[in-house]
Amino acid sequence: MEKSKEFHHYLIGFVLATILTVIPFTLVATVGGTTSYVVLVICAVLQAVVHMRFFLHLSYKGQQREDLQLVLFTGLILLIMVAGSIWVLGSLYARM
Amino acid sequence: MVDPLFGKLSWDSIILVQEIENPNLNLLITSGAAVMIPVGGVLLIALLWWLNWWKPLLGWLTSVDHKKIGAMYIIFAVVMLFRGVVEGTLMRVHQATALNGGFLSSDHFNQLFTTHGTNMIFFVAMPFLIGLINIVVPLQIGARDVAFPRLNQISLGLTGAGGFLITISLLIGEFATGGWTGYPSYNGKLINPGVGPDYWLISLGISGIGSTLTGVNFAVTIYKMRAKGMTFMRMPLFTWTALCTSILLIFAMPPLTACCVMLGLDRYLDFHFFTNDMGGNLMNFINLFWMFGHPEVYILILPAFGVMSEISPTFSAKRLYGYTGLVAATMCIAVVSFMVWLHHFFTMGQSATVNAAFGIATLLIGIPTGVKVYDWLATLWGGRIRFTTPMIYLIGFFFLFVIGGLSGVILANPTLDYQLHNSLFLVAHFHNVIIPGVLFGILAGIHYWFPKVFGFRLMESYGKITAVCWIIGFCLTFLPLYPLGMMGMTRRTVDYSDPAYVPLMMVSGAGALFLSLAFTFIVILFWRSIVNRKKLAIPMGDPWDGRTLEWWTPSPAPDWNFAILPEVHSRDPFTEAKKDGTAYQPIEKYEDIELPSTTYYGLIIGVLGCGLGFGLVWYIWWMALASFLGCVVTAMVYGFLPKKEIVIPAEEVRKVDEAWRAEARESQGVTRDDESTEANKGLARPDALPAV
Repeated sequence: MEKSKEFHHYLIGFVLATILTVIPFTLVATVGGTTSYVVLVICAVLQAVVHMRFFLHLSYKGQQREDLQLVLFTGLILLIMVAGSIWVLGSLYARM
Repeated sequence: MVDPLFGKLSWDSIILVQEIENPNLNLLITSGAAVMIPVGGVLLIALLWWLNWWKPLLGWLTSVDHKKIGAMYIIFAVVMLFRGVVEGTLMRVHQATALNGGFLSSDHFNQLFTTHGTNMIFFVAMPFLIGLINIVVPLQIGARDVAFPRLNQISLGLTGAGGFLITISLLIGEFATGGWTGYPSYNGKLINPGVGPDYWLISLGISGIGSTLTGVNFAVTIYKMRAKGMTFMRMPLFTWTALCTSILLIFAMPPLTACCVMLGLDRYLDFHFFTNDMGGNLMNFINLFWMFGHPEVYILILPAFGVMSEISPTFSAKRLYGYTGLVAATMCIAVVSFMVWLHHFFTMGQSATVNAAFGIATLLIGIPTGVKVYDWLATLWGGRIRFTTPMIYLIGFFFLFVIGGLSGVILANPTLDYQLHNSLFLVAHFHNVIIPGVLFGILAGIHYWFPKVFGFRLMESYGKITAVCWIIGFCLTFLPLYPLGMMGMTRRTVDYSDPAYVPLMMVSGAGALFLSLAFTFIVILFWRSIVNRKKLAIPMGDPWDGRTLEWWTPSPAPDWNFAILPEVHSRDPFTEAKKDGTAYQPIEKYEDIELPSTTYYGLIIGVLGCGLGFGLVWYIWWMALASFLGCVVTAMVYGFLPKKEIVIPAEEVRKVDEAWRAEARESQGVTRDDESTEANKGLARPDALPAV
């Protein structure tokens, strides 16, 4: 019972991840252009979320919730660092 | 062309040889300091031989017990503090006499402020705090040890390796002259081809890895090993700050390691990350360095805040006021500390928008910090306050740290910063935050928790004198630097020509001597307390009427910390248990306790780390390579060896634990009025009048 549920979980994750891989590949191969890059980035972010949810089993419940908090915090700090660096050095570059 | 066997190392690299060949005052001071290393080493070995302490020493060095590792961190930090204080005093005395040229050469002075800064931040403040966290956190959360005891030992070994490199630079070669922040391009190969910057970046790189590992270790410990029933909102405040510090360590140390590695690639392999030509951008070093450097400030201050949050309720016999607020403020500070790094380079040419954004973010940190100060004040209010040594530090902290914080708010304003940056005002500001904030917190914490590890209290009389010396010394040394900075005196000035600076410089120099006195009193304090340890013993483990779990075990705490792991139902579990009279009730069932056995892992990695660093600094490639391979092999061997555990039989635990509980039940205990007398054997008798 428990095992088949887990298998289900992985299967959903696999299907979602496949779809999110196929979409950008087809777009880049057939359409191209700026729009497809935007879609590509969105798919990449969604893909990361799918991996965390279905393969790393992050959720809102119990022990997993603490892990989720850490992942979100990591995301926040990375965002601050990367976006901040780009902003700071970009501003400097523009004024040089 | 470097020698394949000795690299760049030659007889002339040794300071003592330089002194003999070409005697002068500057070299005399350096070699005087350098002589202390071999002489001290020989004396230490002789002492160990004479007292036959080899075995216990090795027992400590191979121990994975978090209390012992914490104590070793603190001993290491005290030794490094000695050097830092001497250097600081030398600089202040030099500057007091530096009108139209003092007695030190500019190169020597530059090395002094560089080592002083590097040493004080990385090898004094950090080991002090990590030592305290090591000692306290597992006890406070009711665990037997940290999550990864052997990793803990490795962290200590790597910190020791970094400390070895910065110390040996005094004897062999030179240290960097570019300040503790090590900015390129001044520290690049083109301008500084010597070994100084290499010493700087490699000692920081190695100890930085150790600190990252400590962060991982304690984040996991606090997340996964809390006692049953200890939810996040029941965690003692010190553990909260330790958690936030660990997380800061995990995220803040990698930028430092990265920029050390990049600068290393620039210097060793002619990369161009931070050069002026070939596409390098030295601003990125400064950007990366402060991405580490600013959270670092909060890595240092948060545990000190934690200590203050433990001391104020204990010594006023009250619940901590505004627990939730303090937790929220701690988390707030931890996050915002990552959003302010640009205030360290306001004047380097970003747009006004960028400066304003980071200025506002910096000002915002004042809010949670203010919340904390008010919470501690409110904790004291209406309590039954005892005027012990930690309380003196707390009071000094209240007044002086607030001044430091306010001058920080001034500096956070970009327009004012344009006037004040790189002046002595800035030096005054950060010493004003770090000494009353971090150092007072650490010293108060050592005074508070020392008995838990060693089983006896530190003497109150010397403790109070030490505290007062630190406070007076700090005020005399650093408060005059504020007006001097506003008068236009720049930092890192080896000499000056304006006689208007002299009177205040004199005051500051005299204050530095006071701080040296304070350090001397620390040594006397430890020495006198060790001599009187029988009278000061507190075998029952609760000398201050403590509130959290760490006091609920004998002193010195046994290897296994708790005979049975405690269960927690409130924020002050021990106070509740004492109130119910259940604190020392007998336990029916004891179980075997498994503890990790001693290991040479950390010691070997530490020694090989020294070899790796020394080889890299002096281009002795065979040494560096052999040490590095040695590290890899050691890691693999220890990775595959089966983990050994020591099992302590239930009977042995029962014997120790029952004796302690029985003694505590039969004893009278000591009232709070007699707390600092010999009557205090570590059992608190509740006050007749309950505090508010």
